[in-house]
Amino acid sequence: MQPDAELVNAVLNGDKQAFGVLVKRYERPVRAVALDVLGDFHLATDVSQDSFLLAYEKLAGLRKPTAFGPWLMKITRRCALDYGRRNRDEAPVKPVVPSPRHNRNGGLDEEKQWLLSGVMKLPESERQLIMLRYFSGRSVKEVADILGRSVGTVTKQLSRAHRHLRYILERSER
Amino acid sequence: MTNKETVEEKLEKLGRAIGSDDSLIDNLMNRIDAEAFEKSKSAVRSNNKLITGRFTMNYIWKIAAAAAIIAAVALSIVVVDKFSSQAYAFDQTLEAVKDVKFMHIIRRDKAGQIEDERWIEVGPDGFQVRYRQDNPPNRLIVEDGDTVSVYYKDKNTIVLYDPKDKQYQWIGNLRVALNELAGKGGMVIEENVDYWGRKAHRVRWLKLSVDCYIDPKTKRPIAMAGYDISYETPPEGTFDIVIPDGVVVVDKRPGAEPTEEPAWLTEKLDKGKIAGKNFTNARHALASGDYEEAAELFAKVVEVRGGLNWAWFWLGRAHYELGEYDAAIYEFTKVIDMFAEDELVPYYCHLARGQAYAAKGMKDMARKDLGVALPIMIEALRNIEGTALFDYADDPLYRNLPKDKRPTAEQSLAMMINRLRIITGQNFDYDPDVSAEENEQAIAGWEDWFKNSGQIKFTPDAELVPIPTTIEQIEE
Repeated sequence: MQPDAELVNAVLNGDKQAFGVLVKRYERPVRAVALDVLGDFHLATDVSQDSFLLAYEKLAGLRKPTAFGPWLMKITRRCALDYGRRNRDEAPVKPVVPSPRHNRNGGLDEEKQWLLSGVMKLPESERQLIMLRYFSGRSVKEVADILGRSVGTVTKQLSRAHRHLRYILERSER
Repeated sequence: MTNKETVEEKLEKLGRAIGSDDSLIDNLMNRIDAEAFEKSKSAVRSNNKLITGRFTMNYIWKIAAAAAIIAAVALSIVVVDKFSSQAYAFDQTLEAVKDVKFMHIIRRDKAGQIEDERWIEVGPDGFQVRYRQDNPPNRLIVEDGDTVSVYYKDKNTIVLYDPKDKQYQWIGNLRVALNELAGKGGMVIEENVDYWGRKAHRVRWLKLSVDCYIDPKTKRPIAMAGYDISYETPPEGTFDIVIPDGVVVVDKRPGAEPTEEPAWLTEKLDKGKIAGKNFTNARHALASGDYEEAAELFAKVVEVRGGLNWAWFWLGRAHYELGEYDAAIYEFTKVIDMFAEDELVPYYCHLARGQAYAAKGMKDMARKDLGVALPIMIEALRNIEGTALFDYADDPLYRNLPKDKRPTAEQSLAMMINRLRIITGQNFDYDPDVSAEENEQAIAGWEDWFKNSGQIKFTPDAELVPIPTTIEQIEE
């Protein structure tokens, strides 16, 4: 499992397939961020594509290749917000009444949307860990490889992220 | 989501719910090809980072020729005037798919869960090379090129076949589909429509009553017949036959040591064989006018193979001929509903059900159904090859006919004129024995009528035009 930083450098050196690996790796986190802002799977799909494209265009400007993940999430959030603003009249941002279930027409169900909002409130580094681990379905070892950290460090950080998330969710329940 | 779930379990569920876009990489890489590469190249250069080597050709451009299916659609397109467009041409799709090597086909249920996922590797000659079909939770089929395995997970059993004895495919043989459909009918319905949040050109493959969606950027089909299509390389091991420990293996390949076949499997296979035999006999009975026999046999078929749409359709046809209109309407409705699940419209079946309603005196219902079929039938007058499904529906032995024995374009056109005469009561002096140029006035007459009135009038005793006979048929 190549670390993000290596893949970023490979892309900058002309290996476009390396970008494909990054896309696969971050597809779900990106989609999750877009979904959190827009509340709609279809819009999130469009925005995901635009976000990756923008990231590809701007990649040479990324100063720390190790920060690719958080940097990409910021791009995605900005793209999603821009999209929401541009299409305010057509596309509802965050529907008032959440879709009763996940289907191809709408957004997440209410509980999943609530959980996703909780994830988005985590600090950047913890959020990235959670997304890679659970949304991209990576093992702890893989997450460690991707981020260029040790398994022990990632295990501890994940544990802290879980605690933090539980705390956020309890508070938002009240 | 229950309270007993841990936050980790909840997160895993959320991850699954977020899902992924199967065509993201394909689309993205093509957009990058088109837009971003030039920009990023200059940006990278300005950053003094030399782009070493050349960009290898995008792997998605290397993927080959399930093209057959797609090219079949692409080749089959005829742009009808009112829908024509300068922007999109079908040869673009042909070009875009000629090197396709893998197809990834997914169908989801209404809740968005995958119910049918297939990978197809297609050889340069257009034939299927390897295949995988996963129907969660219970069935997994893999063909690795030498062996076909069918894994019945609920029965903990894998059955191995020689591909010559059993083969699974998607929309039949790909190369045959290509050859048969080349140059035949379809049309662009609309450009840049919304397909589940993506822009796409909607193209109707008339012969199969199937709508196909073409990505405006890549020019490749992204969806067809309720399936989403993408072209990425499958994960390693996709076409490997894996036999888990403890699974019962029934090897039916020639030369294999005889294995004891579980009773449930014997029963299942026997039922399938009997249903196949009944289906053949029923079609022959219907074709020869023995409607009672046909109805009885088709009824037995649908008992075992409830998803066989043609069995339901011809059962309806047999009941219609017997004057049992309620039964016919029920069976035609069954077919229409089956297709509706995939957002497809079997026009020939609306025609049949409309006639059944009309025969029963339910005029409004009849008008509604016939009104669905009518536009396609009118369009067929200039694009008759695209509506072979009407001929197929009318002749239960059509599938047995060798290619050179199937109706010619002139014969199909005459049959379509007759169908139109019956449901509209109109007659524009079409004469199958004169040239196409001479019949132009008659066809224009139908088109004008449709444009200005399009009034349905069920006329079962309308005078029909004779079906022209080919020289070969006369000699026979």
